[in-house]
Amino acid sequence: MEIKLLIKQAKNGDKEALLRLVMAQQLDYYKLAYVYMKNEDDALDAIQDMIVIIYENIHKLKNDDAFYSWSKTILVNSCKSILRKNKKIVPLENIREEGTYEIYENPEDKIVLEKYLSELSPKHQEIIRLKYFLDLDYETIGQILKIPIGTVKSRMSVGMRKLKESMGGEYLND
Amino acid sequence: MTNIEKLLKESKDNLDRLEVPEDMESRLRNALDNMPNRKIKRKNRTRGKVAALVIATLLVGSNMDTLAYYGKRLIGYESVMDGTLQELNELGKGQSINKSYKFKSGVTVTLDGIMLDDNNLIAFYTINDPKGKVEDKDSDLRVSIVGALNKDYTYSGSGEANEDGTEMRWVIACDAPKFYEKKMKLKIESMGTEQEEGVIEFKLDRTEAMGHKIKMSIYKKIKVDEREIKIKSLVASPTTTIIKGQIQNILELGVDHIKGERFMPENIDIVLLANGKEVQVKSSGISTDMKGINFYISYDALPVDIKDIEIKLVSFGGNHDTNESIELSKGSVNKTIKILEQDISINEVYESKGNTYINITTDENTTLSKVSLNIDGEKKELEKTLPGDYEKIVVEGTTQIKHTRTLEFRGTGEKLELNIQRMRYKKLYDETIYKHKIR
Repeated sequence: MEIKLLIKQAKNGDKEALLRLVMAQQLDYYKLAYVYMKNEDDALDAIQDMIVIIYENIHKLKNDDAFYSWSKTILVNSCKSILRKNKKIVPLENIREEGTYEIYENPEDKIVLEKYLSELSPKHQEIIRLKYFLDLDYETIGQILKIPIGTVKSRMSVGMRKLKESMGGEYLND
Repeated sequence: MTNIEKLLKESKDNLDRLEVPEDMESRLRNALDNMPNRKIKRKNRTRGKVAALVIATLLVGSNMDTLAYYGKRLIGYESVMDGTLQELNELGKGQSINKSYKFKSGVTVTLDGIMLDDNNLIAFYTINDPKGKVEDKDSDLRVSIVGALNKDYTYSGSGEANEDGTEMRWVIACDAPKFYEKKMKLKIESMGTEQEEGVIEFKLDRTEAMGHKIKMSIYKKIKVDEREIKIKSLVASPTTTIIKGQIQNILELGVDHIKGERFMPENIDIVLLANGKEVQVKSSGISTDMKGINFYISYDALPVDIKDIEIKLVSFGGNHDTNESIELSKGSVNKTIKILEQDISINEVYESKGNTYINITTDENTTLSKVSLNIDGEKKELEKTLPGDYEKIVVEGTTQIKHTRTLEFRGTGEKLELNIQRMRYKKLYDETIYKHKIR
């Protein structure tokens, strides 16, 4: 009930209401941004871009119930556009060396996983990350990325197959 | 679970340990504070149609040559234009652009024309979607007006779709471009599955610009809340009338910051009267930057037969740093405290299901915007506010509305201290601050 009221206020240009809407799911937004950006600073930048875009466009949101999936789509797009901009200034040979998540305490294994994961095409790795790291179901992933559920599933299976193939060895038999 | 899934699960566990950075809220608040406020008007559909019909009849009936700029486009925008714009449009005061960008999805955006004067740049654009889902497409589009050095002009506007959803028309207005701007761009980013960026370039033809009717430097100071607001100028152009002013200069802002008594203005309500009649407000904004805290209020254009102008301050509201602590005991308290001359009545403090509740009453325009409760030395942030009642009371002939609600904090304890760090309130003034006769 309260969320509905806040959306209404935010649509009327109330900044504080918008802030409260976002803060109500702060961890979700932060983790989603983190999955793409892999560090605190860039994740916050992306969320900041998102809130500015929401503020400018919330009056166009037709279905209030869709606020969270709509805003998360915007967040994912903000992340991708920052990543695209960052890439422009990275020398070509470094493109593949993406950062690992900062929080790993013992990064050995994860670096291996991260290495193979980041070699997948962006559309395959994002599905795997959203599904496994954020525990999102296929439907939610589809809503956020704005793709049909069938596409989510097929990207998932292709992505996982490729991941297994590239990691080889014991993983191949999984 | 397969080995790969195990590895993925470990990554997830690590991610789950993430905590939201403490400064997230303040960074987001800052980002929003730096944006000018926007107000969106959407006009009633039927009214728009009636107006369109009337004007269509007028057009056919009389002078076709006044339509030099918009020609047949004119009628489509009637429902999204306010009165002043309609009149100007009828007089053909615009500059025709008529350039399009077509997205791969089949959606086309056309910049039909612009209008330019000393206060505003107004752009008229149309979105076409042959698939009939133009409103959905519109939600996916991010439109910006970009000048030299990629300066992004913030704008506000209103739009409306036709019944079969194939066409949507927008009228948007931003600040007048800087004097050095010649070529500008309407940038349209598609945010959907297919990300795509479209650019429509247009040239400002300043010979077509409409200039201004009245330009006044005012420099009038008003005392508000132990501070001074300065009204600096009024510029009336054919499309709008804009009042600009300053709430704090950078020095005052800095001093308050150091003293921890920051004041974040949020709402300034100034009425503009032309020939004794109120001029409609279109939008307003407050910005804080290196130049201090400044505001603008944009009103409709002044009437042609303007004789006198009056500016009235109605109310002023903002968020204040307070940092006040109040010791509380449980039970019926009935204690009223005064912070920054605002009454806060604490009615009752009670425990329920492991939470502590505080029932308070304040003026309807007062909110405790940042509040925490110290329970036996442990700081608890406000969990939520349970809605309560609004009550009308009459004090010395004026009606006041009091708002009673309950604050919820997690945990219980013996020693309670309510900490009000920030408070938002609005004060009513209703004073004439400037009068001017023209000629």
